[in-house]
Amino acid sequence: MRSDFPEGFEPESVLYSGAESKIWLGAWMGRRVVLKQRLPKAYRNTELDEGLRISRTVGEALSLHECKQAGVRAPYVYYLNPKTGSMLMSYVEGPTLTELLRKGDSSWVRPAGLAVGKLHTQGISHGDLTTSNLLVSGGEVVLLDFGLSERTNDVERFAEDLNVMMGALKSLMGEEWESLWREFESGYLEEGSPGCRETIERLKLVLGRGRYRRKEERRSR
Amino acid sequence: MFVLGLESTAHTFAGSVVEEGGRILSDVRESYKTRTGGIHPRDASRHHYEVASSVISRTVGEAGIAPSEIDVVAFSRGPGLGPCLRVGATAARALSLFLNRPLVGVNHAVAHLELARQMSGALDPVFLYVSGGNTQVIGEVDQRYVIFGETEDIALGNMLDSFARVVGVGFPGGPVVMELAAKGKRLIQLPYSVKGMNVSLSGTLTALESLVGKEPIEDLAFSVQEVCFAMLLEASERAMAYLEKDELVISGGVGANSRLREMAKVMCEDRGAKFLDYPAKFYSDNGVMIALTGLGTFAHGDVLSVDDSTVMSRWRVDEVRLPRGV
Repeated sequence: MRSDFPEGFEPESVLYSGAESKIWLGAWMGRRVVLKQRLPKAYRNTELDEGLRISRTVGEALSLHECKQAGVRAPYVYYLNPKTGSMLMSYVEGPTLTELLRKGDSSWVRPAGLAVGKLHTQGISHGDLTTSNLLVSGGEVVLLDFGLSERTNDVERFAEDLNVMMGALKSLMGEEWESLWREFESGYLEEGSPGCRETIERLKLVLGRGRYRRKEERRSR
Repeated sequence: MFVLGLESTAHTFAGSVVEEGGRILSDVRESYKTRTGGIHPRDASRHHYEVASSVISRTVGEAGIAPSEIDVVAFSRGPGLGPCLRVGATAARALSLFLNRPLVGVNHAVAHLELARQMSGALDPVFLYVSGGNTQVIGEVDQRYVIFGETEDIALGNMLDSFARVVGVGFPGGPVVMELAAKGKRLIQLPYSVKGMNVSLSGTLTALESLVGKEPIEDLAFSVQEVCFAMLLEASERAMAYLEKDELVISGGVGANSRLREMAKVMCEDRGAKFLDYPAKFYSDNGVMIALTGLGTFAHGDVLSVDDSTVMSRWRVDEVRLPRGV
C-alpha cells in the first residue's frame, strides 16, 4: 500500500501517465473509481511545484462541482487531498466522442456543443477540450479531465476551448470537420446566451494568431 | 563536395563550410550587440553588411579550400528579420552567380532542428525550440516538423531580453539574466500560464516589469527562469506523453542556458526518457546548421534560381518537406 494513496484505495491499473499526473483505475469502498494523482515534479522549484499542484487539484475539484450546477454531467469527486495532489472520482463508463466519430456516429456532436455552451455560460473554461475528453454515458454527454480548467468570465478562455475542439475535429475527421463543426456550433449556440455568441466572434480572432501565420500568397517549397 | 552555408536571420552573421558526409571545416560568427536597448533590424543589417565579406573570406580560408572548390551555396532564407535576411541572401546570390554554383535556400528553424538532431544523436525526439524569436514544441511527422505547442504571444528569448532591457542591460540579455539568476534564491510569485502544449509569456513579463525596483534584481532573474522554464518543460513533457516519445532535444539560443538544460535532464530522467545534450555553442545561430541542412536539401535536388530566391521572413517550420533518405 503506497502511503500517498487514499486510505482503502485498491489500484487495478494505470490508465494514463501524463505530463503532470498519473491516472489509476481501481476500487474504493466497493465502487469503481479513478484516482488522479499530481506527482511532485523534481525539475520544478519545490515551492512553485507545491503551489501549482495544490491550486490545480483544488481548482479541478471545484470545476467538477460547478459543472453540475450548470446541468452538465462530470465525474463525482469522492475524496480530495491537495497536499498529496490526489483526487478520487467516480468511474464513468462509455465511449468517448473520438471513438463514436471513428465508428461514423456523429449524432453526439451537437449535444456535445450544447454541454460546452452550458459549461461556458456557467463561467468555466475546460482548458483541454478534445473529443477524447467528452464521453457518452447513459444517454448523456459527460465531460472529463478538468485539470487545466479555469473558473473565469474571460471570453478568450472560452474561444481557446473552441479552438482546441476545432483542431481535434480537424485532426480526427479530415475534410468532414467542417460539417461536424457546424453541428457543434449550433449545439453550442442553442444555449442562447449572449456570451456564447461573443465567444464564436472571438474565435475568429484566435484562429488568426500563431507565429508567422498569414493568409496571402505563399511561395512554399 | 563542399557546401558553404550563410546565416543572417537576426543578430548573427555566420558562415561555415561543411564537407559531404557532414564534417565541419569551418565555423565563423560575428554577432551584433548593443550596450543598451534591443535589436534594431536596420542596425543589425548594417552590422551584417559590414562584416559579411570578412566572415565569408575567413569561412573559406579556415576551411582550407579555394573559393572555386565550393560546390553549393546555401543561405538561411527565413524566418527572420527582413533587412538581415536580405544581406545573407544578397551575398549568397552573388557567390552563386560568380562561382556558377547552385543556390539552396534553407529554413532557419529547420536548420536548428536538423543540427540538434545530428549533434545529439536523437532518433525521434520532441524538440523544444527556444530562441529570441521562436518558442515551439515540435515533433517530426511524415517528413515534416509539426508544431504541437507554441507561445501564444512572445518568445522566451525575447522575454528574457525584454526583462534585461528594463533593468538596463543591452542585447543579448539572456546570458546576463542567467548570471543574475545564479545569485538569486527567493521565488517571487509570477503568472504561470500553460494551456495544454501552449504557453503564454507576456503576462509573466508584465508582472515582472512591475516588480523591477521593488524586489532584488537577482531574485527576479531567478524567479523568471524558474517559472518560465518550468512552463516550457511542462509543455514539452505533455508533448512527450501525448506523442509517446522518449527523447527530448533542445535547440535555439536559449538552450545555451545551463539551468534550462539541467531542468530538462531532471524532467526526462523522472519519466524514464532521455535528454540528449550537445555542445552549448551549437544552440545559438551559426552557419554550420545552414551548410549541413543545405547539403541534405541539395541532395534532394531542391535548388533555387536567383530569380526565385526572395527571402521569406515568415516561413513557418511546418511548411518544409524534410530532406530524408536519398
